[in-house]
Formats: sequence, structure tokens, C-alpha cells
Amino acid sequence: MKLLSEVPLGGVCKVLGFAQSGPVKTRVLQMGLVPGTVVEVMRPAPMGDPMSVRFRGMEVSLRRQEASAVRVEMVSPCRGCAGCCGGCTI
Amino acid sequence: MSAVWALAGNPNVGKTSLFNVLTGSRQKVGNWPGVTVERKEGRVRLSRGEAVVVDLPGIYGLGATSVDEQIASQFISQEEVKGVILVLDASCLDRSLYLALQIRERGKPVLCALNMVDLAEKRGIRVDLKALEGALGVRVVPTVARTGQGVEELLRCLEEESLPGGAIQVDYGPELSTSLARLEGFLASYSDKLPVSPQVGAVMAAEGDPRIWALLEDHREQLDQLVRRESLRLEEAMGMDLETALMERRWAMVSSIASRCVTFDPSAKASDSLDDRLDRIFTNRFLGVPLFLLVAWGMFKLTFALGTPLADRLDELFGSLGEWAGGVLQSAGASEIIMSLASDGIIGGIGSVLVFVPHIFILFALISVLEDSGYMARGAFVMDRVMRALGLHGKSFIPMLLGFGCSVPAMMATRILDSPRDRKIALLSIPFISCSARLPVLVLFAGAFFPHAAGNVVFGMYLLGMGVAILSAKLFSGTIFKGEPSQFIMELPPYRLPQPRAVLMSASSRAMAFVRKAGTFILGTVILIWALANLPLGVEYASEESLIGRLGSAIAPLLEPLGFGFWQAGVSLVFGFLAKEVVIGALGTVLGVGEEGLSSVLGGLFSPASALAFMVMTLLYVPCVAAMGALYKESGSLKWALFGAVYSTSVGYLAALLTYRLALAMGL
Repeated sequence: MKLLSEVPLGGVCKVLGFAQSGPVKTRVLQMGLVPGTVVEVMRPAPMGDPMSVRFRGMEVSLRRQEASAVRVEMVSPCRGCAGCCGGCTI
Repeated sequence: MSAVWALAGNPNVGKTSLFNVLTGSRQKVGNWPGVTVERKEGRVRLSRGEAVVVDLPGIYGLGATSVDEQIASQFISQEEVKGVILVLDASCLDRSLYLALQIRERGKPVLCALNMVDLAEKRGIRVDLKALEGALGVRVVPTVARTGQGVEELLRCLEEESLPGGAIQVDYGPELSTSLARLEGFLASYSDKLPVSPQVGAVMAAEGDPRIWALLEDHREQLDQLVRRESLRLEEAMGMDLETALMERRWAMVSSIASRCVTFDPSAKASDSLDDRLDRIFTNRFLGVPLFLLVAWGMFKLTFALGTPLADRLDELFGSLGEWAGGVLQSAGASEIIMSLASDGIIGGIGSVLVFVPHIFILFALISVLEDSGYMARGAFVMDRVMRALGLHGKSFIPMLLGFGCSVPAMMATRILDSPRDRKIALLSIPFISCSARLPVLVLFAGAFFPHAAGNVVFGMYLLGMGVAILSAKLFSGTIFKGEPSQFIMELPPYRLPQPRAVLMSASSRAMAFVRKAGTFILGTVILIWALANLPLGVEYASEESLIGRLGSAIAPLLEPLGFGFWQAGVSLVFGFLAKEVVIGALGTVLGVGEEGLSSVLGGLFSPASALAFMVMTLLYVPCVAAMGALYKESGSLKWALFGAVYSTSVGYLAALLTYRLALAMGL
């Protein structure tokens, strides 16, 4: 288990749950980052923070501190298949 | 009365484009009552009568976790709202479906515009309309808002009397349904207090919607306990708390609908690669920040390089218009005072509102280009680390920078910030940044008292203004707005080519809104100051006997500790409220020398130390009337405007006092 903020660049992971409750959790849940969602870590901002991640076909930026509210596990990257992560490819 | 429709959708789904196509130029931009969130309303012509469409803020859900969501949620549940036009993104249906489910759960009639079908097709994504209509229980009209495709069909549907209504049920599964049933049972005994059915209320409570708690008044504790108990039970049974489980089930339903309605043609390769290449440049470790600074600087330069000549032309025009009106009135035998009221008060006042229009128009055209192209989000992404250290959001950089030109467009530019908290912090800090109107005052005093170090003194004043702005932002984010968290969770939308039509409409509607809202405030103040300078009848303009002169004398003792406790300084500061550069003209008038002779007589009134203090005061004290008008309009409340005025004047006074004492101690 890791926190989303600890996933290396280009790493693909799956959401397990949340390390803390609050507005950050509610917001990412609304955007579709629910347990089971597959997320790819895309790129850091020039100063290392915030970072951007990709899930459900959209790229979302969040601060590292916000990313640390999400508990994830690493999965092997799967690209190009349409069905495995809920319709939109990551 | 025309039917009212709410236009809802996620950010970046083409909602604004659709709003523009639907309403044309018949739109009004303002604020939602009492909050710092933009509200747009427009009229739609139908074959019989017309309808009103209210553009809701772009949202991901109705969970009431942000002001935007609260506004949308409340507005949708209002009785006079006939239905919701919901904009879905065909190129990525998943992300739109969550909001669709939530709105459908509330039971309002919904008409869906499946937007960007052209983009979807290019990416090999096909949406089965019939299946989607069946799954959501609504009419779905495919549209391309940028070209207007499908809009006529959408209008035809708006006219239909009977839209499919009734709420849909999300399958929450056995465990969660038990919890929801318990919540529903609890809420049923308070159904007279709820504006929604206990069933909808139970879902809202499970989401943690604060409005349910607020409505329950004395019974909050019980609801708290119940929610906590159910949350723990679910955590044990399914490994998720109540809120997570609820959202997870909804997203599971979204995925299932999407998998039934969306087919994906793998042979059409996504055009993401261009986006990716652009992102590699714009968010590059070494290039990202310089590129953003270049864009921001270019925006600043363009706004003022194009806007200032136009504003000057307008200023001249109103000057000659005033003279002409004075002449006409004189030949008609009007008294001196009427002539002056017409030319200086009214025409001058209207002029001082309209001179801001070129800057605001150009600025918002440029902002719209940056926002619509998708670059604005990248700029914020790149700058957030630095701006956060100052207690500000990454997007605040552009408004703060514009503050060096003029506070009015800078304050209007805070509209790019999504959270009211970030907007208010920026609004209250911007006036300290030295705008171009303060420069003539600084140059005059620096030149008169420090001829060998004038440049350094002026530069020092700029640094001071920046420093006070940054410290204020830090102070506010750590005190008044401490409880309101700042978030940076935002989508980085795909890059797109901005449309000229949308850009022009955004610019003109904002300029109009400024004239309408801030304009009356500015005009009123100009006339008030005119009256102060000319009354009681028969006094010489702005002399010691006039009301403004008496006001100057009254505040002079207060200015004594700052080193300039004479009525002329008081009067020029009161005049400076009109516009900071007016301080010079006013001093020229009250000293009887005009602006040209000022620097030679200033030495008789000010010492180098009190001149420095006067510069600091002019830099920091109450923002000019136009900036106050903008602050009032943008913050959406008189309370914040008054707070801004009191805060800046206190800071200015203290800083001037400190400067004077320090300068004396240093032997100036």
C-alpha cells in the first residue's frame, strides 16, 4: 500500500481508500476517484508540486498534500484496453 | 412569466459555448446574491414566447462541498425552475454521468445536450443515444456547441410541455440500502422541515451535505450519531465508509451505463499525443515558469498598450464634451454652479467610469483566450508552488500582476479564481500593488525631495506595495479565511482553439457588467466630491471654506503625527479617493500654483521625511473609488468593500507613521 503522493512518475495504481476524510476526499470521489479506479501519475509541476494524474479519461492536477489523502496499490500498467478501467481508457 | 431553465454541467464540457449559442447577446453577467461567484443569465427565443436560462457554475456533483455546488443544488431545487439542461461530454461520457445521476436522483425534469459529438467521433467514440436515453430516462440531443449543431433540436425540446420526469433509482446494493433506509426512517419524522423527500434527504445526509444538518436544528446530534454508526457498520461489512460507499455505487452505475452506451473504435488513434507534446513544453521543468511569465507579461503589455491610448482618447472626448456642455449651458444663461455640475460632476463622472472600459474589454478578451485554450490551467499548475507560499492560489498570479497597471481590471480578473476564498484574498491584497495612477504622485515627490535618488525611491515604493500585498495575503489566509481550505484539485482540460465569437462575448459582457454595477457607485462618488468642493454656494473651488476644505482641516490633526498635518494635505487625500493621480492636481489647486509649479512650493510644506510618509500614505490608503466599486461588485457585499477600505487606510496610516519616524531617526 502506498499514498498517491508517493507513486513514482509514470506509475499506475489502483485506489484502495482514503487516509483522511474531508473536502479533498469528497472532491476526488465526485471526480470519479473511487475505490477500484485506475490512476496513472502523469507529471510534476516545475517545482515538483503540484502533480497531475490521469483517470477516467481526464487529466487532473492536485497538490502532493492532497494526493496524500488517497491510499493506492501499484498495478502493472495496462494501456490500450477499453474495458478494464470503466469505459474511458486512462 | 417565461419558464426558467438551469444550465448545468462539469467544467470544460462546452457549457459556456452552448449558453452563448442559446442566448446570443441577450445575457446578463452578475454575481450570485451575497457571494463572490459569477452568475450568468440569458433569454432564449422560442417559437412561442421565450425562456430564461441561468448558467450554473461548472460542477462535478451536488454534494454542497463548495459554494458552487451549494448554489447549483439550491437553484435546481427551486420550484420556479422548470427543468435542467444538462451538458454531457460525448468524448468522455463517464465524467459527465455522475452529475447526471445525481441530478436525476433529485427528480427534476432534465434535458441532456450530448456535446462535442464531433470530437468524440474523431477519437472513435460512439454514443448510443437510445440506450443513454433509456438509462437516464431523459431526452438526449447530440450537439456541437462551437458550431451550433443540434441547438435547434434542443430548442424544440425546450418547448415540449411534457418532459420525462420522476427520479431514477441508483442501485446502492443491500448493505448501503439498509443504511439509507435507516437514515430515511430517521428523517421521515422531520419531513416537515425538509425541502426534499426523506428518501432524497437520506442520500444527502449520507453524502455529508451540511444543509441537512442545518435544517435539523436541535436534532443534529442524533443524525451525527446515526451517520457515524452506519459508517462504522459499512466499514466493517464492505471496507468503505458511508460517503465512499455511496459514491462508489454511483460510479459503478456510471461505469455500467457507459459500458452499455459507449462503443470505442480502437483504430481511431486518440489525438492525445499533441496535447501531451504541448504539456511537455508548457509544464517543462525549465521552460514552464519562464513561458508562463512571458505569457503573463505579454498579457499585461497588451492590455495597457492597447487600452491606454483608447482610454486617453475617451478621457479627452469627455473633457471636450464637458466643455461643450458648459458652453451650451452658459449661452442658455445657466449659473456657474449648474455649468460646473454638468461638465465636471456628471459628464466628468460618466467619463471616469467609461475610461476603464477599453482595459477591461481587452483584458477579458485575453483572459478568455487563455482560459478557452486550456493554457490558464497549466499556468496555474506551474505557478501554484510559489503562489501557495504567499497564501494564494496558482491562478492568482495574473490578477496580482495586472495590479501594477490598474486595480480595477486586476480585481475583475480575479474571476478566473474558482474559490470565493482565493478570490477575496486576492481582491483585498491587489489594491496595495502600486498601479500606474500612483506613479505620477511618486515621481513628483521623489523628484522634488530626492532629486539624486528619485528612481530608487520610486522603486522602493513599488517594493513596499508588493510587500504589503503579499503580507496581507498571507495574513488573511492564516486568519479570516483559515477555516476555508484552499484546493488545487482541478482538471487540466485538453488544449483547444479559442473561438473569436466566445472571446468577444465574454469581453463585452464583463465590460457591460462593470459599467452597470461599479458605474453607478463611481458616478455617485464623483458627484459627491464635486459637491463637497463647490458647497456651500459661493465658495472658491476646493478652498479652505468649502466643505472639502473643512473636511481637510478636520482630518489635519490626525495627519499631524505623520508630518503633514495641514489642511491642504487632507484635501488632496480626500480628492485622491477619486483617482490617486488626482492628488497632484488637488495639491496644485489648493496651493494656488497649478500642477506645473508644484515641485517648487512643496518644499515649503513638506520635509523630506514627511514627503516620504505622504508617498507611503498615497500608495497604501483607501483604494480609489473605481477600485472600491470593483471591490464592492466583485466581492458581492458591501461588508467586504468597507472592510477593504478600513483595512487599507489603517495599514497606510501605520506605515506612513512608521516611515516618518524612521526617516526622522535617520536624520532626513
